[in-house]
Amino acid sequence: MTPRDTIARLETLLERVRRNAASPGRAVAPVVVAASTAAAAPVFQAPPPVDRRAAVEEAPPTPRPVVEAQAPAPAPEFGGPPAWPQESSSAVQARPSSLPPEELSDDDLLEVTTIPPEAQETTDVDVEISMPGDPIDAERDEPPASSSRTKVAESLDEALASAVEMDGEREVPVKTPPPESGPQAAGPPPQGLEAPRVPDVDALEADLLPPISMGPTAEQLGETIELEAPRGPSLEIDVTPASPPEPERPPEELEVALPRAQMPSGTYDLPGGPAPSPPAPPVEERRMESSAPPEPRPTARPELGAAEIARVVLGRQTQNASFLDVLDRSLTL
Amino acid sequence: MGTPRFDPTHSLEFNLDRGTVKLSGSLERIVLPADALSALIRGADAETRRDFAHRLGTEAGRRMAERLDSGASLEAVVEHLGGEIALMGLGSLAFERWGGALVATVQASPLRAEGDELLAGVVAGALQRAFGRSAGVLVLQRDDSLVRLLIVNPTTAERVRGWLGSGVAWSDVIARLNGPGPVQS
Repeated sequence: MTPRDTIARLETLLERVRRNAASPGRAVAPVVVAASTAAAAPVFQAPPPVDRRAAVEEAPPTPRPVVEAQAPAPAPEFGGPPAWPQESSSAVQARPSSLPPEELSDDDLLEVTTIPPEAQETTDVDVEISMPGDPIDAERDEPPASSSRTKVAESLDEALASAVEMDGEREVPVKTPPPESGPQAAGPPPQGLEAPRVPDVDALEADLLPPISMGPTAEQLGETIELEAPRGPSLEIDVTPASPPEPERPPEELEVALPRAQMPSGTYDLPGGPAPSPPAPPVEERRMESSAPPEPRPTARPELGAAEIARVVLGRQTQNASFLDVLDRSLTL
Repeated sequence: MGTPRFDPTHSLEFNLDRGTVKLSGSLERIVLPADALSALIRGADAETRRDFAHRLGTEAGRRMAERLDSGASLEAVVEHLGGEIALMGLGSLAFERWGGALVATVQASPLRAEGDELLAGVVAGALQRAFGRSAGVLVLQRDDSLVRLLIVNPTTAERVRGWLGSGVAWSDVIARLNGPGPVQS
């Protein structure tokens, strides 16, 4: 379609609209739903349930205006929700049902007439008109993005099928839901979490092994101080070669063939017989050898002849004097 | 022949049936309180006290003479005479020789100082009875538990009493009797 054709169609449509507006029998009275009094408490009135399927079947249906009255926001009390901005007064006027359905086309699906402010002094009413076959109505069949409510199934099979689809699409909240949300189904863990991995043993062993020493690092060598040469007396280490180690003695022959069992007892298998035994030591020496710890030979002091070593001098013999002698001597005093 | 040892076995016999006490089978004895005897001696005159003491000494000398001869040693006399005095309960006897002077000592006498004259009479009576010597025995020195009795002839004894009465010390008495000084044995 070229722009010229579009302009032509628009002009035709405008002409038709003007003709329709000029005809007296087709005046459309605005449906005004008076809002509640301003003194009433703010009420959020949900639209009445609409059986859209029934509306589709009743062709041509009577336009059912869906009016959402929005009362002026009173002064919030007790910190209630903030008042929403007051929109400009407008009204949606539906087409009268007297319009012949054949005259409708895709271009004139909806006609919105803005009511001037002086025409609506008391209330602000938003009127939304929907008509059967309207794409807006079709959009209303789809669930809104913010709602989880789905279309009611018509039959049991459809409900089961939708339930299976719901199970697959259900999302489990990552966070713990509030208790008022009711029981939650435990689903698979979210993809953000990973299962515990098996530790890499090779990597751990590599971490435990000391790193290969490549010498001091640059940071370690940064503060290197050169030491001065020693000033004290010089000491020399005797570097004379040590005596050469004695060569290892050849291992003695410790393996000796045992006498054969076929030989008579007391005979030797070696040629020449047993080695001659050394001469037996004297009896005294054998005694000395028998006792393990040898006793020292003491050197005796030469004997002395009989000599009077002590001399005892006795006291005066006073005990021999009789008592009578002593008594007579005392009596002579 | 050696001097026999003093044997006090069964010397004192108490007959509880008859209520008598005998010493070595001799005459009966009386066990008296020491302070009672001391009071009695103190109340008697000097002659009575002397006779009473001589009688006790004569009895001890007699028993000693039965066991000892005239040639008995000083130690033997001390052993036997001392045994007899001990059996009478008058104390422990010993002898000292201060030069030529013979001094008998009695220790732990129950009669204390009041019985010193009695002890002197006992020793004099025993020597008279055992050895036939008349000796003058007088108190030379006295301390808390020991009394020294000088044994001399009766004449010297009277002179020594005069010295002691005049305040001459007992050591000076010994010195005067022995010249340069006493010889203690």
